[in-house]
Amino acid sequence: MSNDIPTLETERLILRGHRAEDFAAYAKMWAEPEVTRFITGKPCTEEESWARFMRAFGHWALLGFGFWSIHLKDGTRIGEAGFLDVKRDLVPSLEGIPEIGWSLMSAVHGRGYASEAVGAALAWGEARFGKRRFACIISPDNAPSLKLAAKMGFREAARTTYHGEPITVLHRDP
Amino acid sequence: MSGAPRLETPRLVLRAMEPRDFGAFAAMSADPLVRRYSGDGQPRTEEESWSSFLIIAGHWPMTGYGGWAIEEKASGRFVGELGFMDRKRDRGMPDLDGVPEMGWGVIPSVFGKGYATEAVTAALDWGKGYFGAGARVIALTTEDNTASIRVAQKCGFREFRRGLSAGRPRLFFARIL
Repeated sequence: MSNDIPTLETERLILRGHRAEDFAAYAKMWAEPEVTRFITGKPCTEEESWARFMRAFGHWALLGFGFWSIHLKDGTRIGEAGFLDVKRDLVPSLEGIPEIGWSLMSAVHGRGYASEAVGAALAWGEARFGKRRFACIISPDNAPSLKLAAKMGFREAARTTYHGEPITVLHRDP
Repeated sequence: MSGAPRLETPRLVLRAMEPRDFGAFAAMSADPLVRRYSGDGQPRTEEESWSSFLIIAGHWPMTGYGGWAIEEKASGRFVGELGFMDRKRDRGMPDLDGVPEMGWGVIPSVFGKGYATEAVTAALDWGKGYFGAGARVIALTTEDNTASIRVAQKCGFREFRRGLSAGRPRLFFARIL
């Protein structure tokens, strides 16, 4: 059990562990229809965001990996990215394949921040897990995220359904 | 930033939930006898149980308090869970915002042994130190959960409200630490 979450720095961003005081900005992002449309399908209530926020802490505490809170250098929180294991009820199973995910506030979409953050997270992941296969899941309608995943080296591995919705499973092989 | 402190009672150890507990935790959460009074009353899938497990682990570093695994001293086995949580439940009851809510559950094979009362008593002692004497904690049960109502009463909780939570009617109990 370790809560020592590493801080990653890129040209324009700081990726650090979530802190309790980040929750207001966190809940605001998860209440945005543009953010949730392809993930939960609808804006999250405060209660739902709180559960999500605590799971982010729980990953680091139990597993030694998890999501980072993404901030501009002036401290503004713009989103999150990182690794997760949520034991998805999904076929094909992601068991044993580190999964990466990311979400950014709609106000900063289209500026390349997600690429910068996901690139840093993947570099950390290769050091943590080794050079191996990584996975992500993306709604087939989420063109911006699919484009980002392709840029990061992910290729479509399967089309399936998750919680009743179509989903594309992507792999990134070394 | 830390995890659950270890607490001991005559027959039990209350300790941090660890990854190795997940199998027993998920089995308990999938047991209809355990789940019928909790949440929506439905047994949990493995994915749902894992979400709860992560939330329990995350609650400590996030808030400074949270849940414990209950281990039976004699056998070393996982027999249940309990703790204080803030779920930010949307119940339309702003007077309960930020009030820690206690929850507890034990596996059916140890029902009736008084383990829940023993564990809740120890957790309340810890809570008095952490939240401070005079702080209020609450606990919710369904009306037909006579075992949990008895535990709450034995541990000094008093009913103060009836209302809906997670879509079902509940009794609301409070206890001053």
